[in-house]
Amino acid sequence: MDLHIQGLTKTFGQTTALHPTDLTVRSGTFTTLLGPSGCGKTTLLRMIAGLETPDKGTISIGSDTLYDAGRKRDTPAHKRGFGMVFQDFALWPHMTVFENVAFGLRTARQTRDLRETVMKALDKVQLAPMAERHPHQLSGGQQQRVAFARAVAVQPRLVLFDEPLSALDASLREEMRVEMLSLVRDLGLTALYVTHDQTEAMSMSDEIVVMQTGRVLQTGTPEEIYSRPADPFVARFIGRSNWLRPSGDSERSEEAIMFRPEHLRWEPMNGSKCQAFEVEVLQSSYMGDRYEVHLQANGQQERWTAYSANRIPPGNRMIVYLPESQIRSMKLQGQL
Amino acid sequence: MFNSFSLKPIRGLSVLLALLVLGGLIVVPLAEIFIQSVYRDGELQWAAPFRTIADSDSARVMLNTVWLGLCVILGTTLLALPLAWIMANTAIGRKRWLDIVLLIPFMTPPYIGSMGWILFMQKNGYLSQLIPGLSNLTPAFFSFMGMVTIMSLHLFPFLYLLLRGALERIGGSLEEAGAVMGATPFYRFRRIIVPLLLSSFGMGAMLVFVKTIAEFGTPATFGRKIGYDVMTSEIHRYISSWPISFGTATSLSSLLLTACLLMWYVQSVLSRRFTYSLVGGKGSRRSSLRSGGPILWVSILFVFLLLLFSIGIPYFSIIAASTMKLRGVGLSWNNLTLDAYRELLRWGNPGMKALMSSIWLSLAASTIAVVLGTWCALLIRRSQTASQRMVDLISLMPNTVPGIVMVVGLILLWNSPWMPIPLYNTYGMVVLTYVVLFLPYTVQYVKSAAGQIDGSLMQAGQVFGGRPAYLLRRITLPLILPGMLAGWMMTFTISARELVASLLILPPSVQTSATFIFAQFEQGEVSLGMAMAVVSVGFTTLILITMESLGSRRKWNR
Repeated sequence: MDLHIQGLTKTFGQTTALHPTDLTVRSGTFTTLLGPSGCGKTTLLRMIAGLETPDKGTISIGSDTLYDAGRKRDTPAHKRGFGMVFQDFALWPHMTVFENVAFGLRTARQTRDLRETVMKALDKVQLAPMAERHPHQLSGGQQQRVAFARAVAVQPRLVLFDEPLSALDASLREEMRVEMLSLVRDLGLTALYVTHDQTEAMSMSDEIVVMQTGRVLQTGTPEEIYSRPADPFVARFIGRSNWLRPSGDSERSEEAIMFRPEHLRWEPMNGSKCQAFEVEVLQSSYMGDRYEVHLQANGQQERWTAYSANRIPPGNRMIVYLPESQIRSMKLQGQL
Repeated sequence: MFNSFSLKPIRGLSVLLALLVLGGLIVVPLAEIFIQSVYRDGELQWAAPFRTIADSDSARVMLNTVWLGLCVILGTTLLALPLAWIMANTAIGRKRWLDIVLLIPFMTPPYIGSMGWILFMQKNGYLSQLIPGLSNLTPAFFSFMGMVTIMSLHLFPFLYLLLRGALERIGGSLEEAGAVMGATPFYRFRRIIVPLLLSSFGMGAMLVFVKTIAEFGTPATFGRKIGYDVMTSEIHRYISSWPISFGTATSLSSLLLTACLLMWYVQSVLSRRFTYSLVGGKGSRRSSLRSGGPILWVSILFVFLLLLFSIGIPYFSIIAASTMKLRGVGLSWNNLTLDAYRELLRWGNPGMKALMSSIWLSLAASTIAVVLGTWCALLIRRSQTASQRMVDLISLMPNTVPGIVMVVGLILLWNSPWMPIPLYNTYGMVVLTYVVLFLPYTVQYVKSAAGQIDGSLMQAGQVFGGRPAYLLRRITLPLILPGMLAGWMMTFTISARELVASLLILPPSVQTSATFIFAQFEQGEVSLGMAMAVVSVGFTTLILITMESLGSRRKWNR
């Protein structure tokens, strides 16, 4: 059952949180809504969950219409049958881990084999021994796992993740990222994940939806988004980008041209056509596995980044080469 | 945000209903006071209250009241400021039990505290028995200064808590930041400590003033003995003893009401403008201790004397008086007896009856107050709409208004000739009065408990399929239950000791523990009255302690 969203719109007072948006989440995939804070991704997620009422548009899953502004249909959140992992986990402090996980099963009246089902979910996240504890007796990572077990115990049609890793510290975040992804894959869940962290989005998703100021800018696999950004914002937001001054009439151009730092070469390449630039090295920073070199190319506005295996002292003037096949140009979409 | 779809109309209706109920219970009685004071002989006379006041010697009473309020501010400051400094800056502040002990004076009903002081200081009282050389202090104590002392010893914890909080936070990083920026100690004191402390002090002083002019217990006992009349005691006199004059009582009530509302308004404006949020997200670290040696010893002495005067002396007197065999013999071990308790707690004795009716009335009142208060608190939530803010304002109003004024308003309303419900002069009226007076406790406790429930907890419940009713039962109620319990216990203990409402509202020939104590003391049956005081304070304190320990044993804590 795929989730279909059509023409969904939401305004809060004067500000438009979401411009008319279409989106499809295919069954069994891991889809990520990626964007900076205030881009409307959380609003979109909450509307799908039924926690926020859209102004216009439709939300449906399979043949089941959850929201349709035209036909005045609005399935309340508690009848949508989704699972959700909240940013602050939202574990009920007065209930044990077991009761937290059992909640969704009880409301759905799936109380046959309640104990086994809950314990199975807790087993998956390796928390079965903690079933009788209260949330405050668990560490952050464990709370996160309970929140996850709670979301999947009901075998939902769709699991929504609202920046679930942002409350954890950096090292734990990485660990949980790997663990959560493998659980989602094991259970064959359909997941819709909201984050502002490009690393999370790139490493976990089948499909990424990049959003900015209430609009979807680009949808695609992580590889597509990285290598063929459709919009300057996408190019800047995901990975690093170096920008070329457009040729021709310089100021009025409706095109932006960029390439990724790893494609800049220090020597000419055989077999592919390269452009050559004269650059001055501004700074070299050692990153452990390589040097990050900041360059100022002649005739270019923006500084570039390049990677090098050896240290290059600042002030050096040299020639760099860029294979033309790695140059991407994209249309400017209005003022962004 | 939650319940936003299906429950909207029900919610709106519920708020409306709450406003109606609260309006009838609280607003109408208070309005009645104003109406009755300007509406005389069937016509509107704006000058009537002023004329009434000019006719009697009320001007003097009003000046008395204000003067008392100002002097008590001074008195509480002298007690609270050094104490706050000691608790914030010396090792004594690390003693947690002191925090609880320091709340005892404030939890002691003022009439009982005053009776303790009277017993201690009066002619041939315990002081002259213990230290005969000090007996010439008696006339000096039974004066205005004595009254200020008693009331300051009762009210200082208010100011202390505010000042200590401010001092602790200032003493930490805020002052250190000043030092790092190169400010000399004097400059830091002038530019950092004084401005920050002043707002807390202003708040506390105004609170003390309002509490003082609204207080009834001490003026009714000590004040009456020394002939110092204030507004509350005058209102009581005009209602309950010859020559009865409801008109004067109403006029005085409307003035007192105006004064208190005005003070609260000023306070809320000032607090919005001059209070700095001194509560940081991180727990404030204590400043490094800078005292030792002599300062510590002086501090210990101060705290010891303060505890002696505010708790030791009144409670010693009350307990001693309750265990006295013969009054004339005075303090000695062979004059010790528990006869008064035996007499008091004998089944069928008036004292036992009074105690029982106190308990039943308080049980009824606290139960109703919890239901009503919880309902209001849940409606208020985060007070987003105007009507929600209205519910909030009205339900907390009885805390702002002096108890005696509220009671006068309730009498005016329920005793008026057009009132179809014959509640006046019944037990129901007493319960109603207690509910109205102490509703704010439940509202506040439940509101703060509900405020701690993060919105996402409810949203999580919704996403996982909980219907609104199910969410209320499984999530909201369990989480606010501690607040409800606290409100219930607080209402119960305070109603069980309530004096002014009981004096004015009780049906004829019915007594509660408070009126029993009051009557016995007036009639000179001191040991019986004081035994009742010990019993009533004892069992209510026991309940409060139980509540505290229950609260700390809760398994989850947010």
